Amino acid sequence: MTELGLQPFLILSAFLFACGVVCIATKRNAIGILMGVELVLNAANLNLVAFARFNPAFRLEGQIFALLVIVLAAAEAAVALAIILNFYNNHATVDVDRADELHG
Amino acid sequence: MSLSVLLFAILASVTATSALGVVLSRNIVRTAIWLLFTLIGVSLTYFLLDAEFLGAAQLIVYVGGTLVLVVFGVMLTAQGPLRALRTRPLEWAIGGILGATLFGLLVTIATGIPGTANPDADAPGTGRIGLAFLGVTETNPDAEVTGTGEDKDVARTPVAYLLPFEIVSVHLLVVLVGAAYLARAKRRVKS
Amino acid sequence: MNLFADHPGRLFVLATLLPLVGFILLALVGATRSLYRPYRQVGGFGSSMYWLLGGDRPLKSGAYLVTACMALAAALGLLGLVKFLQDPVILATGQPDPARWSERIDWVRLGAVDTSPPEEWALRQRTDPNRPVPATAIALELGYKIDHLTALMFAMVTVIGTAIFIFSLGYLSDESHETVADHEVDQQGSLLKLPLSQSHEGNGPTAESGEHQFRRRGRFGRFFLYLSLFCFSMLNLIIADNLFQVFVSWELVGLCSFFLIGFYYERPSAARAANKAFIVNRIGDAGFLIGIMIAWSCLGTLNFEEMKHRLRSPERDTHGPLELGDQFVRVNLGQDILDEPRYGLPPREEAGNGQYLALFPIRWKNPDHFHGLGYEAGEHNESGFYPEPEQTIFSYDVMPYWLFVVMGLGIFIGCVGKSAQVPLQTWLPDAMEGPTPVSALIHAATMVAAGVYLVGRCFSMFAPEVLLVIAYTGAITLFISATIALVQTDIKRVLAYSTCSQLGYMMLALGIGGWVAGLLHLLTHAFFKALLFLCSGSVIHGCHHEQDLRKMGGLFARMPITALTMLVGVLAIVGTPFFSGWYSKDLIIQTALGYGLEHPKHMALFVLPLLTVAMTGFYMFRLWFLAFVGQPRDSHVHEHAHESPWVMTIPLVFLAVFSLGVAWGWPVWDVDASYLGHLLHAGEPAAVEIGFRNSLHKGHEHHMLAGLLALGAAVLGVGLAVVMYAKPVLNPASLRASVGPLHNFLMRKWYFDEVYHVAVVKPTIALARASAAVDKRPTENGTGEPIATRRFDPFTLDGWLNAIGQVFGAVGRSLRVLQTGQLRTYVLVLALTAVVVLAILTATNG
Repeated sequence: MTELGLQPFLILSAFLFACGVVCIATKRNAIGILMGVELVLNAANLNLVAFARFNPAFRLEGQIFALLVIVLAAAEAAVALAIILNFYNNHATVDVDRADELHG
Repeated sequence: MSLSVLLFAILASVTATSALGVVLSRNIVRTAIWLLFTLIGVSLTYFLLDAEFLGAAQLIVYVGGTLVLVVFGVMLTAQGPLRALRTRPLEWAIGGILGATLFGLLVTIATGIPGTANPDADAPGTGRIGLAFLGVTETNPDAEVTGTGEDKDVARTPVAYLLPFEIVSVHLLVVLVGAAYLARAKRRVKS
Repeated sequence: MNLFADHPGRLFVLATLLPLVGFILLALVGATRSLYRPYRQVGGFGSSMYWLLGGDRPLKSGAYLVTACMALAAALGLLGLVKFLQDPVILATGQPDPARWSERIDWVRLGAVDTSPPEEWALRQRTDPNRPVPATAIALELGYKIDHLTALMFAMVTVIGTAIFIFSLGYLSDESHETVADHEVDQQGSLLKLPLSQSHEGNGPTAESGEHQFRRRGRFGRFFLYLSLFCFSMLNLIIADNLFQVFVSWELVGLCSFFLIGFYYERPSAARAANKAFIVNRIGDAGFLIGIMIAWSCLGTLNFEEMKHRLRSPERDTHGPLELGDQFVRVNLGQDILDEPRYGLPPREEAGNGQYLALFPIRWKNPDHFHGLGYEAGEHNESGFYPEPEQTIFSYDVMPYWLFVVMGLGIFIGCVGKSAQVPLQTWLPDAMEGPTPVSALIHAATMVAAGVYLVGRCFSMFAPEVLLVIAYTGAITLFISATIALVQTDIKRVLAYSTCSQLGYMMLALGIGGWVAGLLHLLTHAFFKALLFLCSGSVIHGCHHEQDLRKMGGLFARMPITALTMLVGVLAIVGTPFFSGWYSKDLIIQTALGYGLEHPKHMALFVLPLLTVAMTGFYMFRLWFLAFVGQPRDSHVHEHAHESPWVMTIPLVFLAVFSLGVAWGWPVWDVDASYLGHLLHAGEPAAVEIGFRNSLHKGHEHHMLAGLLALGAAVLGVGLAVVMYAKPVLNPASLRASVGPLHNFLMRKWYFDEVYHVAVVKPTIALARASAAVDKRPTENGTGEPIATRRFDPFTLDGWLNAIGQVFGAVGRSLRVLQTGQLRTYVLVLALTAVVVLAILTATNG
């Protein structure tokens, strides 16, 4: 392995993605889940940028998409936090297992 | 072993470790710290990928903005007993197996992707990204399009990103207003 | 007046719209008035509106208004006719110039948005072969087309319509009162369970409320409302240039006839008659709709002209070169070397038995396509030469021949219903329940004429088989109806059956190629039948709503004008020389004779009408003698009888003049010299000449024979009537006794109603009862006691449906457990799904 290729980045991204999914699936703290989402988004961004680097046809697009994702992630975090705070105000907890009022 | 490979090895191991830390740590504050390191690692990886502007944006927006927001959330909600919400071992097992499977599959797919096309082509600098966002320049005028069949003649249309840029900015504004509305202190109804 | 200078046909459109304007005005005023009716005694705006619009009294001025509209329409129609006949192009070529005398607009557009004409598409396709051809845009159109037939029919309908409108002003004067007593309802009882005194609240029960009498408000305005809508529909039907517009008007006519036949809807008999007319017509309309749909899907257009142009035939042409656009082709579907279907011709000896009908493009490279098709100068080119039509967007297509026949039959079934032919004739006599002017309108000018008119219009689209069916239907109808008319005692029913019979004559004539004869009879019959009905209306009015011939007699002295005008009508329908009916009927008999001589196995098509001529003479004179001469049989009726007011007699005289002379030509004694006939002949489709040249020719050769035979038959019938009713040599009663069963058979109208009742009505009702019993709910017991029903239902339809519902309910309940409300479970499932999908993708992609 003399030259850095596309695959190492993809594998790193896959690892981050898996970590994010596990994080969402296991954390009971709502903010923990939010962090898992951030991990997943970062994995996706890493993929975009890596492809942009190694595929000249998407050189600019990859980066621009990643930028947009970053901004949207920030927005999403703001909304999610607002929801969490609201939930906390009403239930005095951030345990997502307690938020099951819509069960069938 | 070139410098870039060495740098990547270091960066990747740090990032992966911090990501594992995010998953495994029970304390929400520690989770936030691990996330901080993960995000920094990812931004450094961007630098390694010649995407300097993106790396800087990642640092500023994520590390400086989003993560601070998250930490605020932690501070506002995390009181003594709630700080560590226990997860059952069975759930750990299921989640772990699932995550491992997912990782395995993704790696299988990633290794199946053909290698580098032209890693030495000049990376677009901050200026070109900015121009694209302003709708001034075509993003990629004479690049060869790959990934489509040989027989298909795919014509590139001039694309610029002024409209998405504006949409995102308005979106951001709306979201922030909405977030402020959601999180505002409720007026109590006198009974 | 540029609007009319370039398109004189718009005169007809304007004349068509006038009755509609009258209808809308009357409807608006009536609706507004009934809207404000609750406030009429409150005062203020609503009340003043109510009294301003006529108050409690029926709308009399509105009736005058629509009558004026109708008269104006008649004037415009006549003006249009004159302009049409003086059109230089028509004088020169005999055919109207479509650019001047027809217009079309899209009504509902379907298909391609590209509105450029087909020529444009063809051009584009030639310059760029790869260019996809847009689907042909098809549109339901709205348009008018004036030709000889239309112009004459239009003038006829408007003139007769005006006469009937004016007559109605007098006939229905009772209805212009605030309250009207309807004795019929008292006698029949009402299905509606109306209060016996239904006078409106303002007046309260009147002084006679002690008597057992049904009272209601007058319906003068309403009558004219329906009448004008009726006229509009009929006029629209006449000027329509496509089948769809005809169908819409067709249905409107049916609807108006329903309203008008059921005008006295409190009488159960009237309500039943209206329903019957409507339902029987629906049966015909179903057939009509099938015909329309076949035409639409196979020919791609409903425009008469275009439909005609898409059907061609060399085989029906045995008399020289074809004329473009009036024939159809039966050819075998062939295949060329590349196995692509080509529409080659069969070998000459098999030319007649083709299974397919080819629809050809409008234009040909070789306009003389008779040669283009390969039958050149008697030799058949079998060297694989195929005719090459100019390729337009309307390229070759084929249509199975049987479908073509079904199309014709479908259209004809519609006409059977509308024109009251056997077996759908039963509604027409019952339609006598309407006021007499309505009967006149339905029987003479509008509804029943529509069927005959449409058959004449679509003549070139009927296969020979269909034409034969038409001829036989007409022959059977004319015979059956005439036999029934022999014994009827209700003055209007005699006339109703005579109408059926005369319509049969027209259908017969059209079926055997007597296009001119049939439609000429339609025109002349319209005048004298309107006259006869109005005369009978005058008699009924004068005798205070007595319709039974057995109670009349000796009315000549009481109502001389009515009697004399009616005599004119009777003479005309019998076929007395120099009366209008003579010209048309002689033409029909002559055509039938020619057809019978040409095709001896169809001789019945000549014998039946000839017999019926005698019967017509008998029953018409029987009617006249019974009503006007002899001793009064009911002194009460006779004493109170009086001549009708001038508003009713003037239309009678007017129509009598027309009945006498509408078909005259010079020389008057020559049947073939009829001016009206000549005008119609100019509009005759070429298919008539091609298909029936020999038989028409034979008919002309023997026209003296035919005329004498018809005259002899008529004299025979009239003579019998004279000896039975005028100079009582033969006693009708004893004669009736001697043929008792036959008389009974005819009295019961060949048992058509009974057969239909047993075969159709009863099974339908039984089926409905059975279905109701199956689905009966326990709550439907009127007594309130629980009843043990629905034995059947839970195991059949309801059971199955409930079972399906229950299965889904159970599935839902079990799936409900999965909906935990736990966010993390969902994420796990989501991830699991992603894993599975990725695994499948990886596995399948290698």
